[in-house]
Amino acid sequence: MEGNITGQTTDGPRHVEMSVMQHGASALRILRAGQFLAIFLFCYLYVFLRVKSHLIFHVQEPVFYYGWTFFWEYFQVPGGIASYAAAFLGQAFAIEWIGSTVLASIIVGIGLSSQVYVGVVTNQRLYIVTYIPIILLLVLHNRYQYDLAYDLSLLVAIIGATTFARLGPNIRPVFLIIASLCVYWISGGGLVQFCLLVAIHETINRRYFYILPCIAMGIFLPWVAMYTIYPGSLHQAYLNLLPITGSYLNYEAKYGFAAAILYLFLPVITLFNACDPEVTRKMNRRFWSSLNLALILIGTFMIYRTFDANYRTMLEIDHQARQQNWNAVLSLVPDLTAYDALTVYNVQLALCHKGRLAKDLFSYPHLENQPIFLPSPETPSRLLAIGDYLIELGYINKAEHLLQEALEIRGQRSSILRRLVTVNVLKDRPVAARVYLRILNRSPLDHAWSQKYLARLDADPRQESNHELAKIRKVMVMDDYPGFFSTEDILHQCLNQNPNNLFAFKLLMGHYLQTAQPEKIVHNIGRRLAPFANAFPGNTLPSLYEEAVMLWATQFRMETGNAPRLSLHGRQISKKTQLRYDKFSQILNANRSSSGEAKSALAQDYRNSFWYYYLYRNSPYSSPGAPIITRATRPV
Amino acid sequence: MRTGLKDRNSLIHLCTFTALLTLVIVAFTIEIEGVLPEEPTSEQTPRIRPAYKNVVIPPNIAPLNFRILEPGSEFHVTISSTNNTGEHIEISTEKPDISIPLQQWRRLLSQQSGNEIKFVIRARNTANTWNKFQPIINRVATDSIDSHLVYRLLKPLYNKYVHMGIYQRDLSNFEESPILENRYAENVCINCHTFHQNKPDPMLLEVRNDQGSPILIARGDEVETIDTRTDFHYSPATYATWHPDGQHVCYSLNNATLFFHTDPRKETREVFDATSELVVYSLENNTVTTTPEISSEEFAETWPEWSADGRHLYFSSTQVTPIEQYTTVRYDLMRIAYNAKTEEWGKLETVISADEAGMSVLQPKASPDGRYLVCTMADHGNFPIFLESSDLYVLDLQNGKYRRLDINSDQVDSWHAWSSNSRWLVFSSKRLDGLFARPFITYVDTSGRFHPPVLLPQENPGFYDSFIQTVNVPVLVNGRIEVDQRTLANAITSPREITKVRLDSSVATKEVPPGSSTSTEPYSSGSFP
Repeated sequence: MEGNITGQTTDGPRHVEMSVMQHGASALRILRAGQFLAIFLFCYLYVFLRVKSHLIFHVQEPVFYYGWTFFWEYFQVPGGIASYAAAFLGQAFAIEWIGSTVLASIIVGIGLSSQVYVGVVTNQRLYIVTYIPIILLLVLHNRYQYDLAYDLSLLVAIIGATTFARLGPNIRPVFLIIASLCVYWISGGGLVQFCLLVAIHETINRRYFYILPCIAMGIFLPWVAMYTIYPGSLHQAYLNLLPITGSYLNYEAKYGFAAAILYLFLPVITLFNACDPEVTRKMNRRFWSSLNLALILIGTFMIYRTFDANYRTMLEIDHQARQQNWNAVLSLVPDLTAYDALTVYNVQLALCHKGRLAKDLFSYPHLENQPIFLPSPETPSRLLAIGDYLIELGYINKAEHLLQEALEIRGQRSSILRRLVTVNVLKDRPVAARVYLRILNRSPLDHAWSQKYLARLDADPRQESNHELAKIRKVMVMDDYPGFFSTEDILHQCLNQNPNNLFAFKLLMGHYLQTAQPEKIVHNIGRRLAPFANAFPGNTLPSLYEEAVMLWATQFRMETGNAPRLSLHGRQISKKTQLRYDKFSQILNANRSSSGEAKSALAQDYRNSFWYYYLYRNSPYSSPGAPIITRATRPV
Repeated sequence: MRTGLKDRNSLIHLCTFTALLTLVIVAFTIEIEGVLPEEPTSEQTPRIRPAYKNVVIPPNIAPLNFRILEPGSEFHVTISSTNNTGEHIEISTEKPDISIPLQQWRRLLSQQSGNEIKFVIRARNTANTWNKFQPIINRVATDSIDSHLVYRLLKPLYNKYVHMGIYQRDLSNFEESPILENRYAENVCINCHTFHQNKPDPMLLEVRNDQGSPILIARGDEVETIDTRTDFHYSPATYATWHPDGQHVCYSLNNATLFFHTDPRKETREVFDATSELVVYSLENNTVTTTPEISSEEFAETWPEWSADGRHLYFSSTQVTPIEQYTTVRYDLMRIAYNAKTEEWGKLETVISADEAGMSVLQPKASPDGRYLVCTMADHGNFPIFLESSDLYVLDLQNGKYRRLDINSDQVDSWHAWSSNSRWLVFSSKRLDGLFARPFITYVDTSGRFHPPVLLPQENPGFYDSFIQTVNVPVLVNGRIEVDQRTLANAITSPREITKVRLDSSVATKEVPPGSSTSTEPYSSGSFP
């Protein structure tokens, strides 16, 4: 395992070192470079192919704007510079290959700087010091929420400590003071790591007198800052940019544990290596090879196991839905092993746009007995999706409210600002739209778009020529309904305002299907179907509507003894549906004695029918299907 | 010898260079002076943003930096008195953003107090000739404005507050500093900063949190946390006003609910008070008292304001009405006599009848000189900033007549406050874009005329063009607020002591369980079959 050996010292026996030295330093450098290149390539490909940086961007959507004001907001608090740099570098995530390069470089940078630190402090280069931080960082970045600022903060702390260790003893005290201030200002809580590493260096070099100032800097600097210039709490002054809390945890403490190991690993391995260097020297080449191999295998397994492919699919669905790539959304559904409400909203939005909601609602993820969407700001991750629903419905005020909630909760993300531009143009507030556009104008990724939009607004403040906006204007709710409303009420208001609002009609019927209200489906076919002859061609109805009508007619007959009078606007229930219904009834009657058996018998041909859903939703015999989840997790 | 020769050569070179440089500068100056037209070449005044034209400005206001909206590759601005005496500011720039030097501006204003100043703007056009526009004339008032403006910044239209803060701005320059940002106080809602007679100390601040929504009173570096809940009420304090004696604070207790409109031409949301009452808190005795005239169950009383002499309490009042009839809710402007020494209440009077005015009369603010009372009137309701019909009105307290102010716009104008000398009024207006409230300052002369308002100047003339926060509750104070942000934050997050107010024994308690009166149920105007 020659790659484990440096020109100076060794991980294995001395004869190996001698052997390697004979090959010459240049060969060693090439070997080392090759090894680092391989690690980098592995990280790059992992991020590029598996994690996918555009999804990190989709989740985090780091906000970055050019200009002094934006910089100053960050600069004035400890750790702000790392956050600012992370916001800037995070823009790269939007472009897959650049984002992968940035993330891989930082991860590998932390691994390499860790190794250099140990090398400088203990005069031994242990390659596992490179691997372990990289493995842990990949595990943490598997979560999509892990902040790049944490990485940068850690990197600054390690580089600072390494620089300290490389300096001569006379200059170190001065450097400690200056570097502590700089590290604290750049990386916030990274100061704790920096001071710890510096103190370890001093301990190993038996300069015990200097340990105290190191620890003092780590303890007192945030404290002093807190009582002088830092306006936040003491907790924030110490722990800002340490991954102790954060959305990446998402209630799973094990990832916090992984982050803790990441931060503790370097101090511990340095101390361990320094305590008894002979232990590592005595270990032979075979041991190191085995250890490295085992580490790579265990690391790969950890990275693999902690990656949630289903979560990635849900993110990809959300990403595609926000781009209105409906075919892509639907094509990803078979990959789902579990889903959350946001995914269901996105899939149903796609079904609606592809004209399939009335046929395939129960063939795709759906939320039993739940409204087709919930216009509530309670779950921030759904605000954008619901905002899209409401904009398309023409329910603009509510859309504005939810988007403003999103802006407050999630920050000045361009996805939110762009939608607020749309809302303000629709509300005939072009000047307010410009305010948002001018912010986007300072964003590297939105500059061109906002420039074009501003020019278009100059020429046409109402954007009359914008077909998308014209479509929404046609259906916009202009009547005033003051209050809070249910989904059903909102959809009715939309249809009352404009009976031709096909999107509202599809969602309303989808809502009644999902909440199993056949009487309302029948009622609203009679009341609202007439304007949609083109959307539902032929003389029949979409299959799920027909199934609801058949079911309701049966219920009516059973309750009253009379045949119901149906208003289907000249349409008839198709023969196919009638035959399917007869067969369904036969199977049900044949298994009347056992609900479980009936369900099993019906499941084969009718699992995706309204009848089956109506009978077995939320019943003890209901099959779990894909479990509904509220957060990313592996299916159980 | 060689060195001497070299020195001589160097000297010659230096002289030659200096002479050339002087020639270039002189030529350049002559060129500008020679080409710049003396007489206006345009019939119009130039378009500028903010539109600082024909306005009266305080003699201690920050420079009115502006952006020239006329086309041009180069701009030249001269600011001087109309009679061309005193300080003379010249600005030449290739960019249309005009930043006026602070010191020169201060000298100019101090010299021209009470006089007119003119802004002469020239723009070099594409044909390389200069256009000179008609001068813009503004007047410098003799009356100063208070030194600081305190306001809350928040984004419009959300319920879940994460980032908000209360800030102070030095009006003589562009310095803005946070008094308290809620990110340092567990992201709680902080609101309605209230001051005693425009003084920065004491400051009253209200907090919305799940620990009883206390009020904070900052005096110097000390901040007291006060739990205002009593057996009489559990609602948190909302709108407050300091009695001139500095020992009494009247605040309203509003049982408010927020609901939304669907008509995009309307404000998106609105506030409705199911009930509200007024109480007076005596700081000396730590006691809350009230009288049925300002806290009756049949009426909703809100927006308290002491008269300048403290002998009357003005407030808005309406009959308690179900939310379904929210469009019919109109508040009268009432007042009641009060003796702060004996804490005795007098007679209740109607000052402006909503029925007669056809409007809801809200947010009364009495001028410190006792002459005027400016209020907001809207076609209904009680929360003007969310009512597009909100306009400012002035009531002459000497003759009891009121009128709509000319300074109103077709958008919301609200949240007004007087300066300590009663010559300036600051208010929030959505006139620029219909969404974001911006602070405007208007001069009120001794004859009661409200002059065209001035948008609060900013260092960057394009500041408001990309500023997505709304300026809420602007208040003028005559000094800097010195209380430390950490002290305020600690008073919320980890108060050393919470002062629990006592209920005056003469006030009857109410059987209202805790938490039940913080807001009404969400309102729905009907549902569909």
